[in-house]
Amino acid sequence: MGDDSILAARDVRKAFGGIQAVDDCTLSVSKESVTGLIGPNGAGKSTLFNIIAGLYRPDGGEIWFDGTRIDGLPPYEIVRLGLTKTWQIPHELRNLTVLENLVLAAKGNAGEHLLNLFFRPYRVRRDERRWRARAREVLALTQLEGLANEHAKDLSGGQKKLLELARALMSDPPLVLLDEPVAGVNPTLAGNLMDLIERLRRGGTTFFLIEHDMNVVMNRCDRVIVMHQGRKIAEGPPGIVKADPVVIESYLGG
Amino acid sequence: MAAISRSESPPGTERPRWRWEALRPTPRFRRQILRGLLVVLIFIGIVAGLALLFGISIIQYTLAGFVVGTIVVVAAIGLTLIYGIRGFANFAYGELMTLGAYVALFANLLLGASLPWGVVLAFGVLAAVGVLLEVLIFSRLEGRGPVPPIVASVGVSLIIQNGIRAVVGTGQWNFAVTAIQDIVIVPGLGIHPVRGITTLVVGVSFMLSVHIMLKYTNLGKAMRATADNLELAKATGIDTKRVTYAAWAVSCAFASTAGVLLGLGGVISPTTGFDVLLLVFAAVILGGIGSPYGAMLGGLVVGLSQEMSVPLLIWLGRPDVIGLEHATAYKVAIPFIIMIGVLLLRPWGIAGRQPAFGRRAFFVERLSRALSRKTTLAKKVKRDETGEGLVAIDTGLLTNIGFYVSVSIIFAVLALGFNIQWGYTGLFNAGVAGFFLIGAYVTAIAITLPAPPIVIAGIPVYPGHLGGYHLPFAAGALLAMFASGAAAALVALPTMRLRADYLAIATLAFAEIVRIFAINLESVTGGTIGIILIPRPVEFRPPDPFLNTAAIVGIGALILLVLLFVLQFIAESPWGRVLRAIREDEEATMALGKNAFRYKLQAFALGGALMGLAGSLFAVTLAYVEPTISFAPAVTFSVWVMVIVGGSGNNRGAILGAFLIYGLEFLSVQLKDFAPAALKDTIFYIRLIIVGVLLILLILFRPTGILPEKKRVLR
Repeated sequence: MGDDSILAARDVRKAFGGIQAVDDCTLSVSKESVTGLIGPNGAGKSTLFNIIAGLYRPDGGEIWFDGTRIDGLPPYEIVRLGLTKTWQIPHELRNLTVLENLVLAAKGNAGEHLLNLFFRPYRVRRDERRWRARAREVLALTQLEGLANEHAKDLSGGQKKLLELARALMSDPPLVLLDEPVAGVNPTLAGNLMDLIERLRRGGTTFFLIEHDMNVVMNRCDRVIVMHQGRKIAEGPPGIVKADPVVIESYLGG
Repeated sequence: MAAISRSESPPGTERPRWRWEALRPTPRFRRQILRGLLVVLIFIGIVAGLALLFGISIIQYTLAGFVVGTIVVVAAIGLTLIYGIRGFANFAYGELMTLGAYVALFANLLLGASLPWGVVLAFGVLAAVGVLLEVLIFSRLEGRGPVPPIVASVGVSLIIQNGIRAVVGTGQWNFAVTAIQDIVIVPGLGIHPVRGITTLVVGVSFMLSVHIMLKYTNLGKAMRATADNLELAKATGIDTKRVTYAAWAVSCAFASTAGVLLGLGGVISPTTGFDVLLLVFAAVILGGIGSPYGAMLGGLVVGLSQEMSVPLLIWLGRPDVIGLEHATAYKVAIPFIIMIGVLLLRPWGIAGRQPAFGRRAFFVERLSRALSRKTTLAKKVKRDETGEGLVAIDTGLLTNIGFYVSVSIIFAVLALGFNIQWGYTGLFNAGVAGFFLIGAYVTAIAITLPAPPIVIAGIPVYPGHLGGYHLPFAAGALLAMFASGAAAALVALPTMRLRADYLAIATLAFAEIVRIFAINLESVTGGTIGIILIPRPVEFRPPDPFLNTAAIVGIGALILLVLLFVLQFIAESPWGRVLRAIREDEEATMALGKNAFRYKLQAFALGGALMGLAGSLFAVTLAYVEPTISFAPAVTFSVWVMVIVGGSGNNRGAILGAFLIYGLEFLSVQLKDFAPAALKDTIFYIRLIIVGVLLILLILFRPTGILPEKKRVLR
């Protein structure tokens, strides 16, 4: 765990019933990298993401984000610290519009506090205006402008994926966890999306993503971490990891 | 004890077994036997301890507890089966029990068959009713979450209950069975040998047959698999449709038998089943929702705790202890209190207690006693005060319409409160009546003049009530809002993090507890008579019904307008947007950085406060409050209908719904005078049946209501 790491997990464990989903997993993600997390189905990748985001409480171990220990914190506090996550299966807020979905991802919007509505009407209006503008900006980035005032439930599967990403980017967080960001997105759009991620990375954002599409992993990630049966089994630049016999064994030998 | 709860064998960990292997005493089986013995020993210890404290009469109470518990067990098994497989709380289950009892009664009295044949007939009829309900209604609500089926089941319950009232009447009935002398251990608390022992035998045989069905038959195994994971069961080749039908048939058949047992232990009336429904819910929750074995445990705990708490309550009622008034009447509240405690500590069930019986006896007795007293007293007091009827409404149509508007406004405020909780935030409140009651009583106590007990010729006719602070109406209304809001926050606290149906059951239980207190805590609330002579905010002298009504309408309309304005402002603000986000997907909202728990608490408390305000208006509109009818669960159900009809998530829709649905009630009252003689008595019940049908049709075909929620287009 070098000093350049923004996220570090140490001996993280989580069991469901008799199944050890994450088993003494230790890994770290470097600042301003695009780090891929791969592994066969059931390796514990999504569970690990959910633990990092605070949606599951780990059975043991520590998680550090940018110098703060975050395991055991509720998800909303972790988001406030600057770590956002997308869902593998889109969790769009169905009967809200796309724009509303985005504005909801705002950080510190004064109007979301009941008392501010009455006592700080000016700040409420200013914040709301600012966040709506920001939402338009992110919509443009993710090519969703045309759908701003559609109900989120009416989007296609790929568009919902984009909406997930857009929400995660709204508050300009230092670290974004992406759970299969391009699965179900058409190849051209997926390419544009990965270009966008690359641009944002150069701007200082770190991405940690789960992906099954090996093209994306091999061509777009700086580093790759491989999980198998709840543990990290390999780590390194994509080319080296790809040739690692342990990795090949775990993918092919199951 | 908790032998085969679903969680114990996660898929993939259980190796396939031969059928006969289940009979071999495995180590787990031996452990369970040991655990069971331990529980029995502890129980005997508790009984012995209580016997030392309260005397040997505890044995009588324990036996009574077993009888009561057995009935609850039979009902709870049926309820939990549907809960497990269809994933919703069937609020019509009480009425299904009642219906079973009436079918048996019909066979017993009209067809002249002996009761066992009546039971068989009821068993078959109710099984068919169950399948019919699934086919007609509930299968169409699959995949829409736990709340739409709950609402539909309330519709079913309204239809059955009022159908019985319309067809059979509201009278009380008994089965024609020969009575045999009770076995008496303590005078006055005998166990009826035929009824008690029959109940126990039937209950135990039902428990055994459920065990055999679930464990050894293909149908039972398929049921468990379906309850565990519907999709997986489908994929495994189980005909889940058939399983669901079977579950409905078994569930409703069990309801019929539970209803007959209830009828054996007391009387049969249109509310026989509904009166114990909450106890059955408590048993289901205590044992763990969806687990038949948990239901057995929970049912027994419920029955035993209710009956065995009696000596303790009698002790509490002694003047040298705390002198609780009508102490034993609280035995029906104890299980709910325990249930809420269990929800707080172990929402998945296990260990708790709750009473099942005696409530009906208590209600009927007190109601009839109080009603005769109340009418005479109310008349007397009114005459003393004004020489005219205080609340007497002029028959003039204008005044009638004024009255309709003023009550509609009250319902509109209730509906606005419920809309914030359910329409915006997705929190399902089944105890609207309880928060309404708190508001009404707090206002009544705050703004009336002192009211000492009234004793005429040595007979206490009015117990007096707390208060007499004679505060202005505005202060009373603010206090009411505060009290109801705080109560809402308190009830929500333990259940907020759980599924919607837990909150529904907890709030329903809360409303009943509040009502039990309002009826029994006489020195505070005036008992069944309630609080009378509540001053109006504006009073014309000499009393003019028209002007008085007009003043109330004016004040109510003003409050409603201001409310609509303020609510529209805060509900359509960024704050309200977070509420709607929570309604759509709570987990995702948290992952967007919102403390969902805090928002839910705020929304629920705000809704509760509005209901308190409605109670406050109610108190001054009627100028009296009484606990038995005005705050019955039917009020809650009406408010649901109003919001769903009007359009949940739309404040204007909630108001529209209130005026429409209360209009229906008003119309039925007005029409009564014109109705043909044959319909005169049934027109009220027909109205409620219409409400029930409306509820089901709307939830099936137009869940968005008349004024659907609007899409918010942001610029």
